[in-house]
Amino acid sequence: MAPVSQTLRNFLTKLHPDQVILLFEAQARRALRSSLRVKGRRTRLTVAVDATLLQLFGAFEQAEGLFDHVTPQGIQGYKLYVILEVASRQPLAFVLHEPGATRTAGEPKGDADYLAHLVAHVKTALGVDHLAYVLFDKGFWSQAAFQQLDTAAETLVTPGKQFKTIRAAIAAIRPDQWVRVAENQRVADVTVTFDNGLTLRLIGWKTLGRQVVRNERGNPKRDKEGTLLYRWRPIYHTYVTNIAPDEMEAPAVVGLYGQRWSIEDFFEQMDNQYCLGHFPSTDLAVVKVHIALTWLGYTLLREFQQLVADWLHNAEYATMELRRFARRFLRAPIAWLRWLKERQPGQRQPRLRQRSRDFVSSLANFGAPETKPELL
Amino acid sequence: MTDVIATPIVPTAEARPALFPTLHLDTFKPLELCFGILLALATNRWRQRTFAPTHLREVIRALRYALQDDPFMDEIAHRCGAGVMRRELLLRVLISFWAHVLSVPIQEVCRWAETSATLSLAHALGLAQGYHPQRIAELHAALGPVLRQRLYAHCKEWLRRQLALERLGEEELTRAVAAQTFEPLALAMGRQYGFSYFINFLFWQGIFAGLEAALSQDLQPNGYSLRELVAAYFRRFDSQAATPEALAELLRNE
Repeated sequence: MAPVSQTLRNFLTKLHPDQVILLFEAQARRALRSSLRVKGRRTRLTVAVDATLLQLFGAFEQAEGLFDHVTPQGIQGYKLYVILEVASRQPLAFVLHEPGATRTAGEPKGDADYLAHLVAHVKTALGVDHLAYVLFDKGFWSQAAFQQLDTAAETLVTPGKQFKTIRAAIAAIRPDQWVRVAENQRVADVTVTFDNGLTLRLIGWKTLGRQVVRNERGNPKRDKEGTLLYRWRPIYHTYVTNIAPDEMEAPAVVGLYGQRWSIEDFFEQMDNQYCLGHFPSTDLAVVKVHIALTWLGYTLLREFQQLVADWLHNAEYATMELRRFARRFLRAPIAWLRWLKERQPGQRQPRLRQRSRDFVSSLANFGAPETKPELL
Repeated sequence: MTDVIATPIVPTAEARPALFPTLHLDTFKPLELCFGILLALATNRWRQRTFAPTHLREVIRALRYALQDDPFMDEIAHRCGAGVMRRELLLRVLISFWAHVLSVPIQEVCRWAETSATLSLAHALGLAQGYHPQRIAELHAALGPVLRQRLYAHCKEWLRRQLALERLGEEELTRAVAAQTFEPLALAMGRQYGFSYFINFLFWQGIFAGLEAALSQDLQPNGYSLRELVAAYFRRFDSQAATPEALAELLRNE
């Protein structure tokens, strides 16, 4: 009989959260080992940093009131900051927001503090001098954090917020600086200087879009039939980066930032498929153990996927969606897997056999000396 | 008031082995002998004696050679009459015995030579091609239940003596289980599925050792093992077994 929830909860309570997090990070390091070095040279990683809200119902330890910008409403829960390697979709580290946490100066800790913390932590854990590109969204906007990352020789890409500095820089772009890249698409590559003296590259992307017409009170205007009124006007997307223009052109930077979306997919997958937000206990230590174990399982399943692809000589399995892979391989009977490995082209699928026959055939192979552990 | 469990008195002069309580009796349990042979095969990896088979086919072959010149076969031949050749009789006896010990249908043992997986066992048995199960039924009819049981006990005694099954104890069992638990046979014997491969993979990745080191308290000695707990927790990665709703129910203990 399988253990039920209370048994599992007791088991999780007995695990030390820091040890489990270390175990997860060691496994993530192991999973990345092949991609860290290419042909003997140390390569760099493209990472995305983002935060997700885990909504809770109940008296969870250190849960706090948070504002969800997606469904604009206040919620009770945890805020989880994650750093993810985008090419392999491998989570590298996480940290939970602590309510009432302050900096050394006494100010409340913001998102940008966790950004710098996670980047520094991953560099130490992986033993690399630099990560390649750090991608993060508008929530982490902080001139001090930009300065910190730039000083640490990290390359950052982030969308520009509608701050006064950015608005002024966009307004100052001359018409001849806008380069046409496609129909109704213009790109400008300029620089912006912040209040702290930091100068970064600003990429403006202007496109023609429809915007809702609003009245003086900010309400959308409608015509007599009640449909919304739109007008065509230029819409600006801005990106701030410290990548040199000769290293990467403006459209390539925009494409690079597009890779950040994989972290959103990762959150969606974790939340909806692997129950990241279903905590077995209100205890904070158990919450941390649950997150670390879930991601440890995710990491291992990805590794198992690579192994199966290698074993069956089918590259499709390595890139298959994880859930589809799990559906296929975590439920597969041994005989079917063996048939898959040893079948000849055109051979029909085996019929259902008696269980005792499998037993006897495995008896025949029993006792063969193994030079290494057979995994599959 | 304590419950008194009446233990049957075993009429034997030998010391009763702890692992195999019925193995020294004529009415032994066949699976007990099967397990004893497997344990001996697994143990022979470490302890090399004069006769130290590591494969089942070696055991089957050795029993065949031993029975060829056994006087007990004369009694069997006498009962079966002159119509059966000695060699043919030996084959029937062996098929009957191994089907009994492995708890496998006789029809299946008769087909061992037809599949590549069991061909080595068939060769050890002296079976060159498929055999008709009716011949085994005729043997059983000729022997009768008493002599048939004596025949099984005779073969069992030879195996017990040669493989030194009475020497196997808890220590050998622990070592063999530790070495064999994650092998394909153990997985197949448990009729386990693909998820076990994943758990097997986790074991070799050192996750179990890592999680064991992360335990601040020991697990209960009579409770679930670490393997069962980790397997149950990672069950939700198996998409069909545990949907998010199913896991939520599991966690809520509903």
